[in-house]
Amino acid sequence: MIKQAVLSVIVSAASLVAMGSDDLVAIPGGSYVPFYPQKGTTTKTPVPPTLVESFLLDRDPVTNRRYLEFVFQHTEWRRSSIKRIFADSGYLQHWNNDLSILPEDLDKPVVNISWFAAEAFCEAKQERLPMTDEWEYVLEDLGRGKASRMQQVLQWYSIPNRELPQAGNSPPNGFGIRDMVGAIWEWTEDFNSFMASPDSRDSGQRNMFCGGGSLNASDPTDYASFMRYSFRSSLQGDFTGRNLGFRCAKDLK
Amino acid sequence: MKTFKALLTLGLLLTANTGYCDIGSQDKNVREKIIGQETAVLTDAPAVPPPITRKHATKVIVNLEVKEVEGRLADGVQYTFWTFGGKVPGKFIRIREGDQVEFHLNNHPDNKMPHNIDLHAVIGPGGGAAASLTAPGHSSHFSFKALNPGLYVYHCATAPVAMHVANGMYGLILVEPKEGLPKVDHEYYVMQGDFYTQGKNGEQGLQPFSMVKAIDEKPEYVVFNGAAGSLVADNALQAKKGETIRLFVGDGGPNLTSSFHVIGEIFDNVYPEGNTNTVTHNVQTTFIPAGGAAIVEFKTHVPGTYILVDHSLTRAFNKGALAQLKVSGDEEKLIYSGKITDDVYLPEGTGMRNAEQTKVAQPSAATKQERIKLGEVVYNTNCAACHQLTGLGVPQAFPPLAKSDFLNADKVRAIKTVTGGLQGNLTVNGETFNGVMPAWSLSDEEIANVLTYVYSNWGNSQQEVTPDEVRRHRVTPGKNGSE
Repeated sequence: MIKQAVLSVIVSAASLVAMGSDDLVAIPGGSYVPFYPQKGTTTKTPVPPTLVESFLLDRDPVTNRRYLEFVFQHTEWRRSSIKRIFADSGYLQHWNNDLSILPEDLDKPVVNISWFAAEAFCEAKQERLPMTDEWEYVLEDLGRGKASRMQQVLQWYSIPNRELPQAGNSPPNGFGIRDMVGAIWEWTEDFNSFMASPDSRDSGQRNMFCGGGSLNASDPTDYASFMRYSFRSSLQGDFTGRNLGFRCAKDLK
Repeated sequence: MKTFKALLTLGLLLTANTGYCDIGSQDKNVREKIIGQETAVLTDAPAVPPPITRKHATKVIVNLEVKEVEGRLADGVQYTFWTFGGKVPGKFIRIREGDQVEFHLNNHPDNKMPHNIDLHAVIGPGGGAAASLTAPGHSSHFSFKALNPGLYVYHCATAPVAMHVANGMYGLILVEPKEGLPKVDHEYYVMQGDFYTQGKNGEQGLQPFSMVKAIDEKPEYVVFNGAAGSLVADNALQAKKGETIRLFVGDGGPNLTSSFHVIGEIFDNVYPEGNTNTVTHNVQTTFIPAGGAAIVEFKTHVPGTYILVDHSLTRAFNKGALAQLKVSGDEEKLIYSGKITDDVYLPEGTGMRNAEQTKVAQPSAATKQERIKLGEVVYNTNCAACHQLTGLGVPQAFPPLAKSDFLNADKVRAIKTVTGGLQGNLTVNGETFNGVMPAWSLSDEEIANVLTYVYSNWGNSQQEVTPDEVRRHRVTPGKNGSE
């Protein structure tokens, strides 16, 4: 109870209205054509559509505020106590210490988060990270606004890391989901299962480099997607990054 | 059938007799003993690390940092470059045949993208690409043995590779042959690349990458060393008369091949495609493939400014593929006299430049705004090739029209220049030019429009020029007395 009070002091001192919401939004199932097929599923070209079942997804990326509440209760995920195998030394490095962060950053997406930490956050809420197929399906948005989205993504890629925007800053897409592009990279549950591991290219046609990388892609002119998949393939579970965050998902029962 | 069999037998015999042509050194290089350890000296273009003098192979540690930085692509045009070491092209790496290289690729935490490196000097799948895929804020290391001497390109190979390379992720690595390269007075590093911006050539401000133009292979800029004008004026390459020069020239692409030429020089030696075993002599223009390199050498004999170009010339004159080598020293009249005489030669009916007609029926402008609009078309068709779409001209070749003291001082003189042409020495904004402006066979209306367009742009005096003024001050071609 006392802890709760301290937390509310920290939060209210910021005297900011929380922008990023913790709502889960129901995503109706459907099918989409993945940019890359999952390992071992198909070698067909063109890549066949993948079925995505209905599920729930966070409207916005998880914010520093929400993550602060989490580490408050789960002390083992605080910066000073996290096990090195679960996150590299960049973990939450933008925070002042275990439980303090600049007020203006409270409602920005949380970054410098490892896959293990993101997973633990979602699990604590009986949720999980979205699968790559689910994430990409929501981004693809049933084909709505494809051209402008691709340009938006490339534009974001072309600017080195700057100040992050507040979570929930962008207009919602057709599913009512915000910030799928233009703010941060996001972890997915199976981030490393779509291609050869980063250390080995000898698994044949499904590697992500040079010309070979385009042979298996459903749309080799979609540079934005290449970027996303190659970013994911450069990661390991303990990695953190200055604009790598996450959002949670949940099965719809 | 019998003949066929006979041929077949002959073929087999030939194959058996010739076998694989081994250049000899690879196997020895695999076995060569590694003695000691050193950290590679890396340099930014146009500098090249010093020649390697040691007589044995060693372990060389290379630390290369990837940085995504905003920088100048052309005057007033900014671009976000992805770089090996902070500049385009990336750091020059110089090692010796037989060396064992421990390569560290560091991806700066402020970067947004994962990156890796494919060195064409590496024998192994991907040239190091898979082993070096590195997330922002991480560092990868791998090792290779330099088996083949030569000059090689390295580049990022993370998907989509074309975008990484188009953003400037390339450089050169020299694997110096055991016996070294012949001694020269200067070594320089020059690398060509093509850039694809959303805005047209000259459009100001921070320009994002255009995926569409990249896929269509239609660059807005083709430049040496990462920016238009990176090697001109104060930054020109320097030499003295009688000195020998070696250029390590690469082409990063991603798409265009280079017809590399130095105006006013002949390459005494070219190591085509960067191979150090075969030298060819007396070459005018050498071909450098995208993802390839060449070494060219020449001795300077005559002082002056020599222009390095991609001899696919609109790239040089319109897209930035120009650099300068300034050679100082006393004149050498026997080798090159310079101009001896210049007499007027104007046969009847010549000396006029028939301008490309933009329209059959010329519309006439009712307002100054219309005049500017129509003038822009005339300008882009007839003037921009030399004076550039930006009005900035080309240093030492074509005078600027932007903020031009020559134009702003005297409207009538401008009319006379366009109608009558101009040649000889001319000083504009403090710089002296010595060239020829042809007389233009354009209508009064067109000249009024184009001059009004020029005066209304680029910081000029905003004057309007009317067709009537052009008619009154028009001069006969070649009769434009200098003022």
